[in-house]
Amino acid sequence: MKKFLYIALAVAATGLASCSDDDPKRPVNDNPLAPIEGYGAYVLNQGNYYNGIEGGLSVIDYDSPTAMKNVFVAANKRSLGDTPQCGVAYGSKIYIGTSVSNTIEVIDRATCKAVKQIKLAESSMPGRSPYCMITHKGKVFISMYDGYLARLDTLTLEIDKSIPVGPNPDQIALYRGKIYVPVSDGMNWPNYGTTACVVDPQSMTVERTFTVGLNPTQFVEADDRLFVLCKGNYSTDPTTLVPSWLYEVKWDEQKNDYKTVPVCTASIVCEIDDRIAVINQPWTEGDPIIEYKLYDPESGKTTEWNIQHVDYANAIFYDDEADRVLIASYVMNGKYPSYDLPGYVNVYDDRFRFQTKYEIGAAGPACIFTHTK
Amino acid sequence: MRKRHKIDIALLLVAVSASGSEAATVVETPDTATTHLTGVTVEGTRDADGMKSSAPVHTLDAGRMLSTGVTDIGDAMRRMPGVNLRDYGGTGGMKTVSVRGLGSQHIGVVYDGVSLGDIQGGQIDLSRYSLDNLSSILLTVGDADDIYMPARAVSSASSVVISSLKSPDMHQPGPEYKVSLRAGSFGMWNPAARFAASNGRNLGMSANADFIHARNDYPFTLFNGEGTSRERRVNSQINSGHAELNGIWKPNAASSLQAKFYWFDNSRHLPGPVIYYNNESNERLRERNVFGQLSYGTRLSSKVSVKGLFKYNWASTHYTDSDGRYPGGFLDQRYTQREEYGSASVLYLPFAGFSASYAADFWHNSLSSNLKSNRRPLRNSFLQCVALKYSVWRLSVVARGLWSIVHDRSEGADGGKTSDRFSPSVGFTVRPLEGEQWRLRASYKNVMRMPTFNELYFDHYGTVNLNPEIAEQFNIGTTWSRRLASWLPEFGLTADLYLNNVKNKIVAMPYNMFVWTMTNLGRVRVLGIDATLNADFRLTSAHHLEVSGNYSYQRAAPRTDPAMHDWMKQLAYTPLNSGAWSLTWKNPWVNLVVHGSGCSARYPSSLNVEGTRIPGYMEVGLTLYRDIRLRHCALELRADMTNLLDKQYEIIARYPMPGRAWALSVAIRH
Repeated sequence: MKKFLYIALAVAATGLASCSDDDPKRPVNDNPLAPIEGYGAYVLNQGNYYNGIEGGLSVIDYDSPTAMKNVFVAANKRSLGDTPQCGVAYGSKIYIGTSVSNTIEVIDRATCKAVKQIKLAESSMPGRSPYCMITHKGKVFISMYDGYLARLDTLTLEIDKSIPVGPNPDQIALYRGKIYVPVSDGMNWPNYGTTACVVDPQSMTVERTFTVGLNPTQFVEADDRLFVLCKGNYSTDPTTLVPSWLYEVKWDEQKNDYKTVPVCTASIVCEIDDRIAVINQPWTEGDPIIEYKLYDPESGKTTEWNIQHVDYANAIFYDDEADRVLIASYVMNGKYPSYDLPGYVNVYDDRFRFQTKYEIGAAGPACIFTHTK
Repeated sequence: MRKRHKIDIALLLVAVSASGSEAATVVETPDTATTHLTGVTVEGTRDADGMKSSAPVHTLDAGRMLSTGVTDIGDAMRRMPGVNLRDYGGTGGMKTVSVRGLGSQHIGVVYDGVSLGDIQGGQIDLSRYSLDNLSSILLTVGDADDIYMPARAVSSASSVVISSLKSPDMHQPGPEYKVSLRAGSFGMWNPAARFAASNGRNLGMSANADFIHARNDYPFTLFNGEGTSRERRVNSQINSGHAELNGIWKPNAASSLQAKFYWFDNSRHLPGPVIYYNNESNERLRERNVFGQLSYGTRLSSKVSVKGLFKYNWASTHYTDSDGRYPGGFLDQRYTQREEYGSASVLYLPFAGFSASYAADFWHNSLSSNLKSNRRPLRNSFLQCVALKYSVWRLSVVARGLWSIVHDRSEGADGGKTSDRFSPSVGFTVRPLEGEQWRLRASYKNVMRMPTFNELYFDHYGTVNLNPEIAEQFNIGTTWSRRLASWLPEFGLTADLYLNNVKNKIVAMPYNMFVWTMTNLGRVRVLGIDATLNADFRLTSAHHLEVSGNYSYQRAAPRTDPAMHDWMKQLAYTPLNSGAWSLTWKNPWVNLVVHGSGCSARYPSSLNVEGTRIPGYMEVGLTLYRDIRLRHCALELRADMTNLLDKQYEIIARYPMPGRAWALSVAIRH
């Protein structure tokens, strides 16, 4: 079923006009509103505030050859904030978390106009630095990088509950009615975390904590099974390297606890139609072998993913309503990805055939979501 | 009075021509014929003359800093051509410099004759040096003409030589003292005191101390989209103290033993970059530094002089941050570095016009920290330098060869790594026309920069197998000065054209968001022009108008690979155009200085990303000062208004500089 995507904005000229020496104002896009019909996706860019590069929100309309960039600024005449990290669309609103500005922006889905800005530093509820958002039964669940899982009520637009879950929780997932939280302890190098926890979304209590691989950063569900991505220790020394690995999480009847079963090496994962798409980009010197793979949980087999590669992937997204696959990428600066230059998103059809390449705002995409989620 | 002035000049010229030998007897005065003096004794160190040197030299002495309205050391550096200042804003903001696009790690800083070092980051924060205690700041681009100096002092592409106030007058027994207080906007208080005494013959001492407190909570305008808001810097206060004890003993006219003890303690809050919607910052930094140094020099004969020095340096950095993201909600990083340094030099003057020197330096650095990844790295550096200088007719040539052997070692690395390199340099200056102070000069210097310990060992960043960065500097230039008229007794111009090439440039490259690596990837070419102008207009016998200015053009282009996006763009934070000027009206009532410094637009990244351009600026200031002589002492009064036009600008992205601010100072000197 074709849906209508009401996008608030068109964007001014792609380049941000330079300021005169006498005017230090940062440039904005201020084109009039222009509703657009069709399927699409929202893309958040983190930016790089150390180098003065603002992040932002871009919109892809699959029927248009170009993306609309900086739509938040265009709609609200102000910055979205520093390091937009996560977002989700739910009901008539979009929720965006910025991890450095430490805000949650609630914006109207039709116009992108701000409805509310929640400054977490001023909130009575604990939890700062939003990292990942999912929705469930009228609530937005947010992992906070300072060790909390927060719940935002979409009617009152207030955080009604926040609980400690462990240091540096990362990409959470909903599985069989429970929230699974990877506790990465990612700021504690080299002693990363090796646990995850299960939270009941209604009572907001931690029901169980279990052991996973080193540095768990993402849960993903596929074919009614649960997987966890553990990124290892990022070591550049092959003798001490613990590689980034995808595990399946299974229940161990004998131990009455969860256990993890290795699946394959992986850097980025995403569920696509009951399978898991995997891109493996090892961080070693020389010319590492980059793999694109598909894992079928039912057969337990991993096959090559025949899809046009991007330069240096940072996110995969599957739009199940439109049946499209999106892969976001940095652009390369010589041999290395650039975190300053505008990145791009490749869109593929349901048979993984390349459709369109969209240039996205500065410093590469960080998070992709659609209005249908 | 006039006669006394000429003799002072003559003494200075003796010192310059003697290359430190303090033995010449033929003196050239600027306005008159050759004069022969006998039995001249020169005491103290020579100040380099930027108009006569084979490489560009720029000097600001205390008097010049006062008369041009220099307000702090960062401002002083901005008054020198080719210097690119990185200032994080306000009284406590870190201030580092780079010269001619070569990066701040290529700058050597020498304090009272001995090199300073920071093995961890490789750059010296100049903000710790208060102008109250300085007699001069000297910038040498390339090699100085003085060949009688430690090898380490010539191992950098450029050097900043900071000299503290001189020792007491050894021929006038009795104490000298100075007490001062400076206060200014944003809660700044800066008391300082100095005491000096001698026995009137051969023994002298001085002690000085200063303290600075500033809230540093200055307002600024935040531009957010189409709107603006008036904000204040928060978590920005500083408390900093510094004390020194100096001693000098001159057992005979040819020998001198000097000792210095230095203490510095700086505690500051770090406001960090301006973040939209979030003012919270809990970063703290405490830096402590203690060193002691001892130097001895003597003239063994009319042809041979020797000198040596030893220094022990201890420095610690303690950084903390409270944030729930860190383990336990608190980040606590402590680093301690130590250095033992020794140098020996000999100067040989076999015949008039020719001198040769040899210097050998050895120093040992170590760094430890409380980090889990602490590898306790060590470095041993052994440098030897042979230098020759020959002056004939109106031509002077200086040539050097520097041989560096550096060995690095750390826990977990087998055997360590040794780097060695021969680095030559040569410079000449010629005065084509007799009777004219017009000179042509040219110089070449090749130098290597060792990677810092951060670049080698820092978590998720350092790479242990880095090679040294290599820089080549070519310079051609001209200087001209003369007395043009009785109403224009001083007029001077310098202009230099330069080309710098950097190979094996150490740059940070990402494997991914979490792992960065340092590589010898980069190549950079810098093409530029530096020019200075100084003029003293004598309006009447009591009224002078002094004009000075400098201008720099720097085209600093990364040239690593045409396939890279930064190819031939402009280096980060390097303006194409920069300059400074001052206009001073000296009069019997209150001296008045209007001054300005600024630069054109810059980018925070060498990729020159659209939308990140930092606009250029010109900051204008006003200074009033006057000395009042009382019966037994002198009163120094000074008032400064900085950023007179309240210009909102940034030098570093997201670090706004203060707007209009004032400072008043009063000092009593005896």
